[in-house]
Parts: sequence; C-alpha cells; structure tokens
Amino acid sequence: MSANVLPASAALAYAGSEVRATYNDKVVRQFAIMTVVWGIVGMAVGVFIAAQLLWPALNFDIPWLTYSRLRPLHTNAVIFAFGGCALFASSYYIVQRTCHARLFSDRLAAFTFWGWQAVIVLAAITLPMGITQSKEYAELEWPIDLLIAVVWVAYGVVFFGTIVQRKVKHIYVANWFFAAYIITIAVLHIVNNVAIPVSPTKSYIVYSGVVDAMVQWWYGHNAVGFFLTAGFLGMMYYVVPKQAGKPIYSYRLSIVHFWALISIYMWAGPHHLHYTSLPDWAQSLGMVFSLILLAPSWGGMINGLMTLSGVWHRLRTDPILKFLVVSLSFYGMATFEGPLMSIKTVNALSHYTDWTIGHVHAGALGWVAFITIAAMYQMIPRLFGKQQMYSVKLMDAHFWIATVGIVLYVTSMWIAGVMQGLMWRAVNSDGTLTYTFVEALKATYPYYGIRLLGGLMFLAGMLIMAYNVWRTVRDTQPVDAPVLAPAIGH
Amino acid sequence: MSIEFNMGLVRGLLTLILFLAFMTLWAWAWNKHRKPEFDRMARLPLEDQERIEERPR
Repeated sequence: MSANVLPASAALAYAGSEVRATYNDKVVRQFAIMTVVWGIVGMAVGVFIAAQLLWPALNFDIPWLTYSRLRPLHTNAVIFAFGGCALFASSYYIVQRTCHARLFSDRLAAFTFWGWQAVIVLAAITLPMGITQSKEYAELEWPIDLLIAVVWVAYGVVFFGTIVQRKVKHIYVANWFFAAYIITIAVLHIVNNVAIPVSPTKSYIVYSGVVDAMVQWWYGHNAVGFFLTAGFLGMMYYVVPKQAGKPIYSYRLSIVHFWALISIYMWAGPHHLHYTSLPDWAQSLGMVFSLILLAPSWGGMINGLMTLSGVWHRLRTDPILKFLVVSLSFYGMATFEGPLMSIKTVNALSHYTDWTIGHVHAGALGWVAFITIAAMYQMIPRLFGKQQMYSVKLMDAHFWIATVGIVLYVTSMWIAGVMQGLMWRAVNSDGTLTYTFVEALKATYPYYGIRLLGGLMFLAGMLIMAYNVWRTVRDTQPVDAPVLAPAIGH
Repeated sequence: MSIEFNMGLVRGLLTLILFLAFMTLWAWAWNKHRKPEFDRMARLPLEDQERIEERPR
C-alpha cells in the first residue's frame, strides 16, 4: 500500500531545489468525495420513492415523506448535488491540467465548494418541508436561487480566470464544453427564476400561462442540454483520451459538433409541450430542432467510441474503459430515443407515461452517472497520490451490478410506458375509454417492482464505490500535483 | 410606394446566413493546414500523464 503513496515532498523533489507551483487539487478532492456522498443520498431517495410507487403506505402519513415532496428532492440531489459536484470537480481538475495553470483564486474556489454544499443542504431541508416554486428542476425558492446565482458567478470567475492565465495558446475542447455549460446555466437559472418574493419562503414567478410553460421548458431542456450533456461531454473529452492513452479520434469533429450542439439545443424545449396550448408552430419548431440534434449528439458519441476503438483488448482488465464504453453507448441510445420521442405522433403515445422516465434514466444513469463514475475512478487515485483504486475487482463488481441495474430499470419503464400509452388511448366502438386510469396503474405494478430492483442494484454499486474510495484514500497524504510546463509546440 | 416588410424573406435570409456560417465553420475545421495544429492540441490531456511517469516515487 504505502509503496503507492507519493511522498509528501514529491512535488518539491521533482523540481529539485526550486519551489514549484502546484495545482489547486484540494477543492477538486472535496468535490470528488462529495460526488460519491451525494450520489448515494440522491439515489437512495430515488429508490425510496420507487418503493413508494409500489407500496404507497411507505410515506407513513408523514407530510415530509410524501412522494410529491421527495421526488423533487431526488431530482435535485442527483442532478445538482451528484452531477453538480462531479462537474465542479472535473472542470477544476481538467482546466488546470489542460491550461497548465493553477486555479485563478483559491478563496473563490473554496467559496464555490462551501456555497454549493450550502445550496444542497438548504434544498434537502426546504423541499421535504414543501417549500417550492413548483417549477420542475427549479423548485428551490428565491433566497436559495440567489445563493446559486452568486456561487455560479464565482464559479465562472474561477473557471474563466484560469483560462485567461493559461500557459498554452489553444483552449482545449473540453474547456469549450465547460465554458458553454457555465455560461448557459447562468442565463437559464436567472431567466427562469425571475420572481416576486412575498415572504422568505414564498414567491411568484413573473411569467404566467403558456409563457411560463415555455420559459420553464426552455430552461428544463437546456438544463439537460448544457448541464447534463455539454458539461459531461467536457468530462468525456478529457477522461476518454486519457484512459485510452491516445488523443481524441477527430479534433476537428469535436469543434464542429460543439458549435452545432450548442446552437441547436437552445430550440428543442417546446417538445416538452406537444399538444398543449403552446402555438402549434412552436411545437413543430421544437420537434424539428430535436430531430436535427441527433447529428451533433452522435458526433460526440462517435468521437468518443472511435477513440476507444483501438483499446478493446484492455476492456478485460480495465473497468474504467468498460464504464466509458457503456456510457457512450447509452449516450448514443438516449440521444436517438430523444429525437424519436419528440416526433409529435410518437409523443402522443409516450408523453406522460413511464417511457419518459425510462428515457431520462437511460441518459442519467447510463450516460451521466457512468461517465462520472469513470472520471472519479480515474481522478481520485491521482488526487490522493496513488497509482490506482484500492480494488480493481470491486470496480468490476460495481460495473456489472450497475449495468444490469440500468438495463432492468430502462426496459421495465419502456414496457410500462408503451403499455400505459396504449391503454390510455384505447377506445371502444361507442367512443368511450376502454380502460380506467386505475386499470392501467394496476397493470404497471410488476414493472414498478422491476424498476425498484434495478434502482437498488445501481445504488448497491454506488455503495461498493464508496467503500472502494474510502479504502483508497484513508491512509494517504493528499498531494497537489505540480504545475507542469507545457510541452514544446503549444 | 412603401416596401412591404416581408418576415418570410427575413427568416429565409437568416436561415441561409446560419447555414453558410455552419458550412464555413466546417470548411475551416476540415482545412488541411489546420491538421498539424489540431493534432498537437489533441495531445493536451495526455501530457500530464507522460510527465507523471517521470515523477519519482
């Protein structure tokens, strides 16, 4: 064990007598560890509410434990706590190493960590209390929204400040994706949360009616497009070449698909409002842009998979590569399914059913969580001065239990969703509905059971990861890596 | 006679401009002269790895 630990003086020894600058890896370590912690919390809440759908008595008639309050807690925890900490950790890690510069400000970086944790804790307190704006993925009330805005601006200053101080001429493509994600999330968050406060725990959004719905889903879909896609593509563009040990398959493809992706995602939001009072032309516009999105999305997937294509022989021995291959495959599947579901006639069947839940989790578990897990398994040993994780076998076990869990989750929700859609729209010859809502719900029961099992398996994988991470870092002396001089030619 | 403001024409021109902008970006990115530069840039994530192996343990 101890042979793997980098001596505390390594950074100095490497540079000889000269004292060299180091990367700010403290904030990266903090966010990386909290990624695992919040992942477990958020997914545990998800498993609990999945069980509630099967056994409604599990809310114990306690208001704080009702599905309506815990569901937003689950989504906020997995997206903004788990996904958010993962993006903070990886963007800070990657921007320093690809710019050959230390983070712009240690104090501001520390502020983003503690500020973001405060947001998460406040969400965990207020959402079960029923304090909410009732906007999906934007439930948090105005004082927390203000804190998010301040933390996010600080994040932007740290990130772009580091870019400005870079020692290489070029800005690596991963940083373009991170930059787009940071700027866009700031705009989305601020515009969608413009509200008139009436008390510390209650506000009214300034938009009303269909305008409110359109602003909400412009926000909602771009939260998917920029938080859960562009941000994690930034992660992918570093983790994949690094793990494969070779440069990205096509750098020019990465440039073209970056600009195409960010220009087109902006317009896809209306597909969340098919067959509503949103003007028909806006619905069609959302559908057309969603269909076009397939091209830039698959540009990213192809670039990642082609980079990995030279290292298939290492799949047997390297679980991180397995996570990456499955992650990119799910990214490809989910970004094919999304355009499909945005077609109005398909949406007439799929909307409001569990197919949507299956689609979201194919993306969230298959793509976002898997690329995050791969990134953490790659970064955490390096951040704590180790060659690799404590146990490769446990990483392998994590991979298999999580993969089977996702497959169970997604397939059960596909079947349940298509079945619900068909039952809801079935009519008798006299025009009356063939099935009541409760009949469709009853038919869904077995699939809720399979979904719960899938979710439990995914959570079990995260617990294995937590044990593995704890064993990896517990006897280490964290070492900040030295800032390296750029190679000749940059 | 005043010229009627034609929104359809504006939309058509905007679509054309954006399409040309995309094609220009494509041509720029696929320009042979950029290949060596892009190849160097693509190595950026690999550089700290190579150096870490040189570090004393």
